Amino acid sequence: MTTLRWKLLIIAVVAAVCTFLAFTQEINLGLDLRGGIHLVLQVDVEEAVEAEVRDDLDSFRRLLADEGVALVDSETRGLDGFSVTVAPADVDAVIDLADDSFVTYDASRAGDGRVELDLTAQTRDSVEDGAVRQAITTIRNRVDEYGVAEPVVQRQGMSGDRVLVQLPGVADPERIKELLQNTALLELRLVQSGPAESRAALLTPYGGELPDGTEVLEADDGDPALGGGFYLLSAEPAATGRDLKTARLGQDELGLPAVNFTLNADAASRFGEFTGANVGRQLAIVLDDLVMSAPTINERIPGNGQISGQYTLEEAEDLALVLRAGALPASIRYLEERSVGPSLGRESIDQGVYAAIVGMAIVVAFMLVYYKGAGINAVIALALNLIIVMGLMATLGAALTLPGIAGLILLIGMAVDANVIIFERVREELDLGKTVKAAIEAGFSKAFSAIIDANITTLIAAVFLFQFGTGPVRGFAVTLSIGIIASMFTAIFVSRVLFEMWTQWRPRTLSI
Amino acid sequence: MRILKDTHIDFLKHWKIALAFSALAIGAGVVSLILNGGPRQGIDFAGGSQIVVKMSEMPDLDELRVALEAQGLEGATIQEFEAGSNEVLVRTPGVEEGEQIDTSVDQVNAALDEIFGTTGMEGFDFNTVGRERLLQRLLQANPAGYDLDLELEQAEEAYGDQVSAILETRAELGLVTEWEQLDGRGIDPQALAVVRDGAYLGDHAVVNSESVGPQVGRDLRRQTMQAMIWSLVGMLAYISYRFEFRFGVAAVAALAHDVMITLGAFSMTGREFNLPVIAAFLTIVGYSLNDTVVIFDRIRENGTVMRRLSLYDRINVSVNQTLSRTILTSGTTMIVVTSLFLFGGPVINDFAFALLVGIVAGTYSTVYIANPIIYMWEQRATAQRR
Repeated sequence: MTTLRWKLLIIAVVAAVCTFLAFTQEINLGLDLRGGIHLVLQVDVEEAVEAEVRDDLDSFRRLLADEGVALVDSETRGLDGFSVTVAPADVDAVIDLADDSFVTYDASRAGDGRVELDLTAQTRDSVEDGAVRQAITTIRNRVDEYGVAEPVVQRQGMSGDRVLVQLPGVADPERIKELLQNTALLELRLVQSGPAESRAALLTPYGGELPDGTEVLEADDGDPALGGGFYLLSAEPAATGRDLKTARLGQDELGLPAVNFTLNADAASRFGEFTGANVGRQLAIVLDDLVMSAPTINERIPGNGQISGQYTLEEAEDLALVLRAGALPASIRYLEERSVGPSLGRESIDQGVYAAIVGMAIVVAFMLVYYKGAGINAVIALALNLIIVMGLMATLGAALTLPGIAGLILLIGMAVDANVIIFERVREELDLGKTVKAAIEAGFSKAFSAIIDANITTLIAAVFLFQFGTGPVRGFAVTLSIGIIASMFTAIFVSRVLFEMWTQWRPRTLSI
Repeated sequence: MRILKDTHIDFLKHWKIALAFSALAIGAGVVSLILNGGPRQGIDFAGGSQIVVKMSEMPDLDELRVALEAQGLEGATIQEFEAGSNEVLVRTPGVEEGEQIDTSVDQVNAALDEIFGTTGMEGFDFNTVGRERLLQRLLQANPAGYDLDLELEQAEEAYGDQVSAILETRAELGLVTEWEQLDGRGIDPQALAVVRDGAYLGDHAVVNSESVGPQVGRDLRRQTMQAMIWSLVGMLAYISYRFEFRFGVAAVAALAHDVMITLGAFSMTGREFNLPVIAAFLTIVGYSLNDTVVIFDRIRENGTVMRRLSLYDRINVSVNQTLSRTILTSGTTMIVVTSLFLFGGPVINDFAFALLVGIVAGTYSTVYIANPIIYMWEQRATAQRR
C-alpha cells in the first residue's frame, strides 16, 4: 500500500474509533447542564481535636483511678491538651504513666503537683486529617443511602479541611444540605434528675454545682411530653450511635413517624445489663446534645429503642438515614453552594447547541465560497475535529459544561484558522508560479511553524485555566485543550492527506 | 475569490494616531472603573447569593423588592434574567466571615408567595415538590393496587418510574401553569390523578441558586490573579524563546492592552466578573497571541528573505502579506463568537461578550500595538548604537 493509502487508513480508523466512542460512552455532562448540586464544605477540625482531648482526659482519669492515684483536679486546655493536678508526691508516677501509655502527648511538670499533657503536633495533624477523612466517609455513606447516581465526594486541595460534594440530579438542595450537615450524635444516658425549668433550678439540690460525672442538657421543645426544660444526665453514655446495628422508620404510640433502632451484639448485652440494673429510672435519648425523650426503664431492654419527637415523615426518614450512615466526627460548615435545576440545564444545552450550529453553518458556507474545492478539505477536517474531540472527551470521562460548549464553538473558529494559514500560504506559492505539488509542500512546511506557535500559546492559557479553575471553567479548559490538539492533528495531517489525494486525482490544477 | 490581494498599505505610518486611539479607549475604561469603584465583581469573587426564579408572569420589580425586604432580605438587587422569559435574578450580599452561607431561597419563595397570593395554600406545590414526596403519595394512594407487604419493591420501582416521567415533563416545561400541559406526555393518568389531588400549581419555581462564602470568594480572587500573572509570564517566556525578547515584550504589551480594553468594556456596560468571564480573558490572552505570532513569524521569515529592507518596510510587508489571513481568521472566529453571544442564552452571555470584545481588540492590537513597539524598540536600539 502506498504511503497515502496508509495515511488514509489511519485517518479512517481514528474517525471510526472516535465516532464509536462518542456514541457508546455517553459524554459526561457537567452539573450546569445536567442539573444537580455542588457543595464545598469545611470540617471543623478544631472541634475534632478538642473532642479527642476530652476523650483522652477521660481515659487518663480512669487510668489514674485504676492505678490508685488520687486526682485533685483536671481540666482540658482547648487544642493544646489537658492537665491533671495530683499530690506532689505522685507527680513522678503520673509522668511515668503518661510516658508509657499516652505516647501521643508530651508530659511535663507545671509545679504544685500539676502535670500538663500537651498534644504533639504530629498527633494533632493526624487527628485533623482523620477527622476530615472520617467526615468524607460519613458523607459518602449518607449520599449513598440517599441514592444519588454518580456522586462526587472528595477532599478539595491537597490537604486541608475542605470537602467537595457534587450530586447530579438532586433537585432539593435544602434537604440534602441538612442531611449532610446533621452531626447525628446519638447517646443514651441515664437521667440523674429533671426536668427543671432552668439550670439553676436543676442544680439547687446539689448546691448549685455540677456533680462529678454529670452534665446538664436541654430538652428538645418539639415533644410536648417532655415539657421542655433541663435535665441532669450522666456524662458517660450507656450506648452511642457507634453501637447501632441499624435504624429504621417506624411509628410511635400515636402513629406518628419515629425511628426504631437496634444495637449491635456487643453493645446490646452491655445495654441489657445496664438497663437491668437501672429499672425504674429514666433513660434519656440524646441527639446532638438535645434530650429527645426520657422514657422510664420498665424492664431489662435487650438492645433496641425508639426515638420519637413529632417528626414529619421526611424528618424521620432522614434521621434514620443519618443514624445508619454514622455520625460526623465534627461539625461541618458550608462555604459554597451551587444548584442548577434540570430545566435550566436543559435550556442551556439547547441554546448552546443552537449557537454552535448557526456558527458552524456560517463558517462552513464561507469556507466553501471563499476557498472552493479546498474549502471542502477544511470542512472535512472540521467535522473530523469535532468527532475526535467528542470521542476523546467521552473516553476520558471529561465533563462537558456550558463553557465547554462555548469552547467547542470557539474551536470551530480556531480550527479554521489553521486551514486558512495553510491555504493562504499555498495561494501565495501558486502565485509565485510553483507547480501544484510544490506549492502544497511549500505551503504546508512554511505554515507549520506558525500553526504550532499559535496553537501552543492558546494551549498554555488552557493549561493555566485548568490549574486554577474549578468546575465549569475546568470543563472549558479540558475541552479547549483537547480541541487544540485535535485541530493541530487535522490541520497538519488530515488536510495534507486530502490535498495529496486531490493532486493524485487532478495533478495540474488546484481548486483553491 | 479573494480579497485584499497585493495590498501595500503602510500600517506603521499612523502608529502614533493608533496608539492615541488605544490610549483613549483604555482611558475611558479606566475612568469608568474609577467611577464604579473597580470592576463589578460577581458572587464568585465578592461572595453573596444569587437565585434565578421562573414565574408564571413578571411581577412588578419594585413590589418584589419591598416584599423581599419584608422577609428580611435587605440590599437585594433584582434584574430580568432573560428577555421575555419571566425569569428574574435576585442577588443578595454575602454573609460575614464565619457565618453559614445562605441562598435565601426560603425568603425569596415566601416573598413571591406574598405577591402571587399563594401564601399558606393547602397541599403541596406541584412545581417545586421533590421526588420523595411524590413517590410517597403514590405509595400511599397505591392506585395500581400492589400488595405493599409482599410487592413493595415492584411497587416502588413502578411508581418510581412514573414519578420520573412526571418530573421529566416538568423539567421540560420549566414551570407548569396549567394541568392540561401534562396531558399526552406519556404519564400514567391514574398516577397523575393521585398527584393532582392535594396539589396546586405554584406560580414560581427556583431554577438556579448559588451562594459563595467569603473564604471561597477570597480564594478565587487569589487563584485568578495567579492564573493571569503566570499566564502572561508563560507567554512572555515562550515568545522570547521562539523569537527574541523584544518580540516577547511587544506581544505581552499587546495582551495587556487587550485585557485593559475588555476590562473597560465590561465596566462601561455594567457587566459582572465571575469565573467563566476570567476564563474568557485567559482565552483571549492565548488567542490574541495567535495573530501576533503569525505576523512575527512572517517578519522573522522576511528578515532572511528580504535582507535589504529596513525594519519599517519589513514590518509593513509582513503585515500586508498576512493581512487576508488575519482578517479571515478573526472574521470566522468573530462569526462563531457572535453566534454564541446572540443565541447562546443568558448564562453564557457575559462570557461571550468578553470573547467578542477581546478578539476585536486582539486583532487590532497585533497590528497597531505589537508592531509599533517592535519598531520603536529597534529605533531606540539603533539610536543608542550611534
